[in-house]
Amino acid sequence: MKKQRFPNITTTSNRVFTRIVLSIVRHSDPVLQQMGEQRIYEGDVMETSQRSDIRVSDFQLISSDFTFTHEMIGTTDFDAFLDEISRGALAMYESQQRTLFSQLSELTERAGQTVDAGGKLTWEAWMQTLEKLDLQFDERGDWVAPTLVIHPNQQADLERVFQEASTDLRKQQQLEELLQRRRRELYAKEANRKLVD
Amino acid sequence: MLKRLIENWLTSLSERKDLDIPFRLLLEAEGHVAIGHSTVHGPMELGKDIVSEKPSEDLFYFFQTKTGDAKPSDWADMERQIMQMVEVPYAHPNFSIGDPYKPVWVCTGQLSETVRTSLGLRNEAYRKSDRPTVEVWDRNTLIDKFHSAFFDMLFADESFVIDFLRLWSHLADYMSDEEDLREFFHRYLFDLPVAKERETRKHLATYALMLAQVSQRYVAKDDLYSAIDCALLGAVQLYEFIIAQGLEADVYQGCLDTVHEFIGLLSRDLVDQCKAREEALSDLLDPGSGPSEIFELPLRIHSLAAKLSLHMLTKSLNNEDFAVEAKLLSLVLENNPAFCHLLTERQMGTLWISIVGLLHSDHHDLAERFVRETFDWFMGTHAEGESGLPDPYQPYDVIISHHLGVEMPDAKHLEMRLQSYMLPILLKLICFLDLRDALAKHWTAVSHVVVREYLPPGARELFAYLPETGKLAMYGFAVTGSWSELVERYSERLPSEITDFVDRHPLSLLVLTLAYPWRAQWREVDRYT
Repeated sequence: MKKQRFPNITTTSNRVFTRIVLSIVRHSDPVLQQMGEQRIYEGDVMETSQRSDIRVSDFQLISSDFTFTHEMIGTTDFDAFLDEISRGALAMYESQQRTLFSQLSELTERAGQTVDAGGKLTWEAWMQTLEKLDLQFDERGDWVAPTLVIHPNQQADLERVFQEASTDLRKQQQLEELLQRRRRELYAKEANRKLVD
Repeated sequence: MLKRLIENWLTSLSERKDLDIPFRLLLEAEGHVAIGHSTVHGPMELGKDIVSEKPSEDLFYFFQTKTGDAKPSDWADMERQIMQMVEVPYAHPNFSIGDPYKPVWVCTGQLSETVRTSLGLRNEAYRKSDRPTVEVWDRNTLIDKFHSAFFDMLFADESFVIDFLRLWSHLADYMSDEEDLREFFHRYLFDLPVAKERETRKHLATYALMLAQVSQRYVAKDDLYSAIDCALLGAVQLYEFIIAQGLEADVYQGCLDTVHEFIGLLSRDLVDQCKAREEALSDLLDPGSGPSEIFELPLRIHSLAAKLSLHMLTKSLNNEDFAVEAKLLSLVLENNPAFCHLLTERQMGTLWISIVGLLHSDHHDLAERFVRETFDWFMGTHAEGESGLPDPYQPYDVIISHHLGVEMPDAKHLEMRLQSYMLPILLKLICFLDLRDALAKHWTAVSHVVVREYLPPGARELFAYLPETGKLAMYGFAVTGSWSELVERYSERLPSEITDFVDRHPLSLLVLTLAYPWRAQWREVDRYT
């Protein structure tokens, strides 16, 4: 005797599970939540190029295990079922976080955009970092500061560095000079955009 | 069984033109290439209604078709047509005089003794004159031929062929196809004009054949459950048509019997399969379904139990022994406690028939246990912070977003707490089994529930799909409930003007309960227990 299957239920279930898992993965981290999404339909490698700079990144797999026990199914225990989906989704988020930062480290290392601060957050290290980054300015020319992702233990240090800088005119001037120089460079580059034969 | 359906259909053909298209489709299925047919029957056809070529035999066929039996009084006319068929040359660019041909007399009925003898003598004369003899394809031959070609041809009326093919080719499983099937069956039955009795008989016979073809499609896909559900849906539409048209029993009885027989045949197949693998019934959990199994398991148990119960009750109505079905039903329910875990009120039909089956087979202890557990589970879904169960009109797949608390774009959240269509069934069973304590345990919550119930004004509405007439009753319960008043209330029966058809065809209400679960009638539990 063949046991009856319900393809309609399976399909809808998969849609709902995916929605729950993605929602948990996306909303578990404010940094990840801010990052844009690119839907990739085919291929297994992504290449991004800008001027002569070409960066290639392989796709990375993020995964997690979900364990739905026979007892959970047999007793139709939806609370336990949802707990398991949440647990598995959080594990998937952690997997995504690990993968993302290891890939990020590899890419920035290759692009020469890393700064070794020797384990201490200082104003000098911050300025050195900004020198190495492509800085973003909005249409009014205001600087769009990059998002900082730090270990929670470093938060106090970081706040102290910025607090000191806000009352130190020399540091403020140093930052302003850097921004003006980079803004000028950007405008010069933008002004040169033309199509030639 | 299929042969019986075909015989019923052949018998319903009373005009030669009714046979024209299906017969030409049959020839195509047998490898003939039709090269000519008479659009108007009369002397001009020269005894040849249809002419075909069969390349595999390098032979032409001349067919003269007739509906009904060939009686002695028909012989004179028959002989004239046979002589024309055999002796008058056929004119067609693809046919040259001298090409080998086979004359065939096609008859949807049977040949009387006199006609058979006369034709034998006529053939003897042809043999002596080196002419081809006349072959006869009578009802039995046609039944065999149509049966062999059953899945290679269509019986649908010309105007429905494309719709039928579209439906046929898109069939997946009953739950996915239900709406398309219902719409097609309904349109087929109700849209074709059938004023005369003769046309009605043919219409019903063709419908029964189409229903069998669609159900058999599921069987071919190894999905017997969908085949049974499809046949049940088709039967309910047939009941509605019979009642709506006010048909006389002698017009529809043959068709209805064959449809019921067909359901019985499919159900018997399921019972045989269960018997062959009884150990599988002890645990219906199917890990292969993945996480969706938490939803599929209770539905699977309900579906199987309901089908076993239906077959058992059908056998009982036919005064046949039903011990095997009763044993299988109790085996399924005893070993699969998720039966009591209702996910939607749409399961009210399968619950109703399964418990009725237990009661009918004297498994009162089991029935009592399952009613108690189901009632506890049901009331749990109406507890503080819960949302009740989706109403029975919702498709099954809403159960997922409902129970996981996720709003999907195509499934808005349904708030059904303390509202119910199925509570009366549970209360009826509680009263019937005298389970006062089970009710007392939940009375505070029950007294808050608003019951919704559609009250059909007549038999047509009872069997119709979401009719526009009738009353939707909403009622609650007194804060201080009276057990005796409740028992009195739930001993009510449907009025006789509604049950007239059910009285004559008691199987119809069981079939209705499974095809349209929201129509499960708590008032008719006593009829089957």
